[in-house]
Amino acid sequence: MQEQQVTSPSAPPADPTRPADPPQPQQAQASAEEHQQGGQRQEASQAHMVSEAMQADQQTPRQPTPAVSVTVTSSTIPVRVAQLESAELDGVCSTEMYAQLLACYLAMSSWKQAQLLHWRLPASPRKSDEVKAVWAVGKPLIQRKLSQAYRAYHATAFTEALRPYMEVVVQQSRIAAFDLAARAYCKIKVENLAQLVDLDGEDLKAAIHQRGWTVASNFVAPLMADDQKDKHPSNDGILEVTTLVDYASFLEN
Amino acid sequence: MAGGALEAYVTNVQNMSASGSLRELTDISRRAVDDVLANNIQHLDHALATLSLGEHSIGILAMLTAKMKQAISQNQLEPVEAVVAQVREFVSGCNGEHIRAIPDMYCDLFHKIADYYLLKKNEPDRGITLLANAIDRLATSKSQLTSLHAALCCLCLKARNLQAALPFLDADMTDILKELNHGPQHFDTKHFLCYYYYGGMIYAALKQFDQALFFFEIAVTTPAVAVSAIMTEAYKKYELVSLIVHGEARPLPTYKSSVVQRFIKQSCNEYNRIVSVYTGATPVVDKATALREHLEDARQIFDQDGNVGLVKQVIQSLHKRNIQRLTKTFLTLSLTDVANRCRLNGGATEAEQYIVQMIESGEISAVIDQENGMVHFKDSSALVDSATVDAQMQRVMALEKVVRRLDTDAQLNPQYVSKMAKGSSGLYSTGPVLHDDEGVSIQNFIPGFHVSDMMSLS
Repeated sequence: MQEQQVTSPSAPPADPTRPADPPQPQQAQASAEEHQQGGQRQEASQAHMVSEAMQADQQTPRQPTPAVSVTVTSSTIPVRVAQLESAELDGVCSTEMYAQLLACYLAMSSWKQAQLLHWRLPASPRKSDEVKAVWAVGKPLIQRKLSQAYRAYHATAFTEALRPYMEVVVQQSRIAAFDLAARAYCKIKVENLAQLVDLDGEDLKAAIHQRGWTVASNFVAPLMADDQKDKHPSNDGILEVTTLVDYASFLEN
Repeated sequence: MAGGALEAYVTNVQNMSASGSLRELTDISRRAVDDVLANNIQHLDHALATLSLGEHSIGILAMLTAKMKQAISQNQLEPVEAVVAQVREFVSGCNGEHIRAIPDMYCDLFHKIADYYLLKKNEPDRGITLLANAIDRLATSKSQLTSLHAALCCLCLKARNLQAALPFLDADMTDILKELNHGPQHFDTKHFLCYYYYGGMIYAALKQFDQALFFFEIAVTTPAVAVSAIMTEAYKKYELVSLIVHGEARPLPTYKSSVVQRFIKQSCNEYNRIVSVYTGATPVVDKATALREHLEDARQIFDQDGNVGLVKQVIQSLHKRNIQRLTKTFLTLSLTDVANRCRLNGGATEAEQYIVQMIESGEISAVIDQENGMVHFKDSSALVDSATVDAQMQRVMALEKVVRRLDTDAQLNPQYVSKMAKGSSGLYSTGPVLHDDEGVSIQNFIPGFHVSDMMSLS
């Protein structure tokens, strides 16, 4: 007998993004007849051998996700983070992978994630040289003691696997420091700016000149970059007006 | 004979699954877990091999439940690990419609697994992916709350891996899966409270204090006839987070239960003291110093509640709030003056650090002139950009659609309709009056229809 199901009016619509149920057999009745007739041959071929598959799974444990040798940039880091987070949840994260994940969080300025990761690291990776080296840079970075972070970075010889990530960390910190200096200061001492961005001498002069900033009496006058003033400047006035009209009519209704 | 009973059960599973008699199958499966299946544990792996994951999910679920109960009772890790591996495979391919017919058994199995990882094995991170997949299989949509949500949040908190919980917290919950079937189908309030309590803690740990405050508020304002321990702990955190977000302990909404109104503050004396010092109700010379002293005096209590970090953040927010108050009064101020007015021991240097931090996080809009040691406060409207406005408006419009749907559902609820109909009868009824409707009421619109019909349909 078929089940009669009454759909409650309050049941939410099915979410198309939910994982789909396995497909139902085309001929359920034919299959039932075969079961009754003891059709184990067809059943065995169709059935998922659950316990055997599970035993096979136990005998061949999942291998750790291998380190992917790709160029590390700020755009590839989120992809790498997703891989490493998945590996961590599966319990197949090596010490090197933990160190990479920590470096990736620092490169993305996800300070809270970096702190939580360092907090939950198992004892062995936490005491490893790789993780200690990354954390020696990361901890002062989180505390916004940038000069201390840069000193730690220059004083450490990172492994081949970690060096690209740490270079991105420092690069991103430098960019963020320049942006912050532009937003937070109308005049800043040259020495303080040098400490913020880890540049000095000719490198610092070139960076200042490139940004169109001026220097007078040992003080730099930063200018906010045009793309910082409005992160998404609207190029289409009509579209913007249409959008605003939609918002206004929604709010009034 | 026992073997015969197991065979009969397997046959029933195959036949009833094929014919769609899920209700009958769930009834016999619930009985079979402690009876037939428990007596034939050694044969269950063989029985599992004869069943199909996509077609006989209820039977497989019952067998795995029986195996898990037996493995846990042995008090050893290997048997449980073996069953957990089987459950991982089960979750990846089970039939969602079947498991939604027997949600109590499904959730009970995963609660056992969560407890195993939390308490026995002490590896909560290993259970996170499994619980997340289990929720995805069970819930009909991301906005449906199940008891497994609370278990997942608990695992994430214990593992200190909060990222995995965020997709399940960011979704607005508009539906609750009624899992329990002893008596009328219902949902255990404990899981509801735990979800919002743990969710608030996760958001607070990630410093998303607005969302944390919302979650704690829901936990505290849940309808109740007695104040539970979960509500009390949520209220303590609610007060602290309210100070961080608003600078004051916002009163709870008017729809809170009367028992909460009367009793909850009595068990939060140390927190009431923090609120009174912070807001100035208790006059002190230096609020930050007074709060630090109070933290040390009552350290044991805050430690026990796990709120020491939050209290420290409250103290830190005090300085930031003082600086924000200055932006409303002054256009330009020297850094030394800022330090004096905000009672910063570190002087102008500490004031500059705070101001730079607040500029970086977008809490204030200002520029510092190091040459003259001055800070210029700018108009706060400069903090908002068009992308943020767009995103917020889109969110509001999506939320409005959800509220409109919920309102329609509530108006069609039979209990609501019958209450309104009763409220309209009688001379002194205070409910909405059903005026002479010129023949467009439900009874007249559908001939022979009565409100009681709607109630029987539900």
